[in-house]
Amino acid sequence: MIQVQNLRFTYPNAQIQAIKGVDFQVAQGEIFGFLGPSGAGKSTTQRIVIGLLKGYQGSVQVMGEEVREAKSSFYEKIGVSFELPNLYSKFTALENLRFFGSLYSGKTQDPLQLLQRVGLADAANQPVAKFSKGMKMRLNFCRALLNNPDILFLDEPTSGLDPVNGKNIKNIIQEQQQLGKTIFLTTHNMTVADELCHRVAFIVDGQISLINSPTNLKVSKGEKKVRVEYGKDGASEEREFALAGLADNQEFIQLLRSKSVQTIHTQEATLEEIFIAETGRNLV
Amino acid sequence: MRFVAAFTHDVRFQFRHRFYYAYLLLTIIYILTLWYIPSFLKSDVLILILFSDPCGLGFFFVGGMILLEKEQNTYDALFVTPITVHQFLFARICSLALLAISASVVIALFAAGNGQFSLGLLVTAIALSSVCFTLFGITLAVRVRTLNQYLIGSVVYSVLFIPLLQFFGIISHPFLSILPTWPSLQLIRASFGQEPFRIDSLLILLIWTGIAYIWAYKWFRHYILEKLGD
Repeated sequence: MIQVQNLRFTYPNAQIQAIKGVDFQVAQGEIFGFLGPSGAGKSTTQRIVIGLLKGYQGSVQVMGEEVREAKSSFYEKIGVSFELPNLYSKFTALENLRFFGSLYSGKTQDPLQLLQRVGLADAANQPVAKFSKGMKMRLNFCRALLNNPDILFLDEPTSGLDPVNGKNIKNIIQEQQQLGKTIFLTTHNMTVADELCHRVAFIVDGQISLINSPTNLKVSKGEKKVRVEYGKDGASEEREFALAGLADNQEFIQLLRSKSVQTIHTQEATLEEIFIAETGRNLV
Repeated sequence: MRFVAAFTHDVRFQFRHRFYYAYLLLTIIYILTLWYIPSFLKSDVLILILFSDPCGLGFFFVGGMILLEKEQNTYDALFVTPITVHQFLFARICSLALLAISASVVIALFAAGNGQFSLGLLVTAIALSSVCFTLFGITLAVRVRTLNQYLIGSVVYSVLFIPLLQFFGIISHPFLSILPTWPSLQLIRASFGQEPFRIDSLLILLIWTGIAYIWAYKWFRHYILEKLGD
């Protein structure tokens, strides 16, 4: 669905390239996470892929179309939600969705059903000015789904949401993926990326340093050990065992039989640790 | 259809943000002013009011609209739909021209009376002036974030209003006649029979409108579209 080859981009009047030869592909039905700190080139890459910045070098094809030459009909097939709320504050939630829906020539989704899906049905006729940030973010998300897009570009989709609404949005993203939609997710949130993404790309200083699935990364970069925490004389103690041959490790089996086990964790690395190790940067 | 949707939305946006009420109040003030001033001043003041209405208000109202839209980040949502910058600009200039034409015709009817002016010529003059100065307003509004910055920036654009000094007989220079305010003033005066209609006035204003459109389009793309999501 998305093919990016040797993408380079320099902003007008800038001395340094913002994007320095980026390559990646996103397949249909994939949730692809684009991770990087502020100023790394995430937003620039996303702006190029959604057809807003045309003066790039290299090739960026979305649904077989070079985005440099994309016409307005391109936006009939994609849905984009940026990080900040972006709705008309003097209009109600329903009026906002109806207006944005009227700009598409194809069939759009019922705004009320979308509002219901994100828990905003009761606020459908309230002006957006009275919404909390979380409500505005959910409405933003609804707007991106209005035209039933083939590709969804989501920038921090759970930002500002409470855990229940955050979970609901993540469920909808997974439902969209199961419907065959492709999702391009830009985020700082490693937990969201880990939970949702089939593959993630780390971008720093305009270059992609690594692309892989979160599971592969965590396993390959982590220690192949299991840590057991158990109670002993009212205190907690812990021991580590190699994963290899664990089933035949008599000490491990003995510990499980004789002690009061509290937790058992494999020692895979977290995405955040891998990001810092690979890029030398924090995700801020 | 997309233009119709954008135009209708613009009119509703102007209503919700009380632009129409502001215009109504100004129109009443203008009519009362024209009612009470001495009759020997009336025709000149009427021309000035009709000129300032589309030019000045078009310039400042579009600035207000764009600053409100920037504050609400609505461009981030709008320009990831199939609407084009051309459709957006056309809707914007048409909606503000409609407001300017309505107010101007009402003022002209109250001040001069029906049959005392050429409706077709007045509407043409007001529409073109409104479109031209709305577009100039867009070229400034896309670059600034606050009302203060807009007001400071507008000082640069006040150079376009120097021909008003020629209107008052303070200075006179052939160069002033090619600035957009002069043909605008001439066309409004011609609609009241104060001077003959001149095709060159119409052409100069059309050329300025074309220049302002290209300028507004390019800067809108550069300062708004290419920075979406910032």
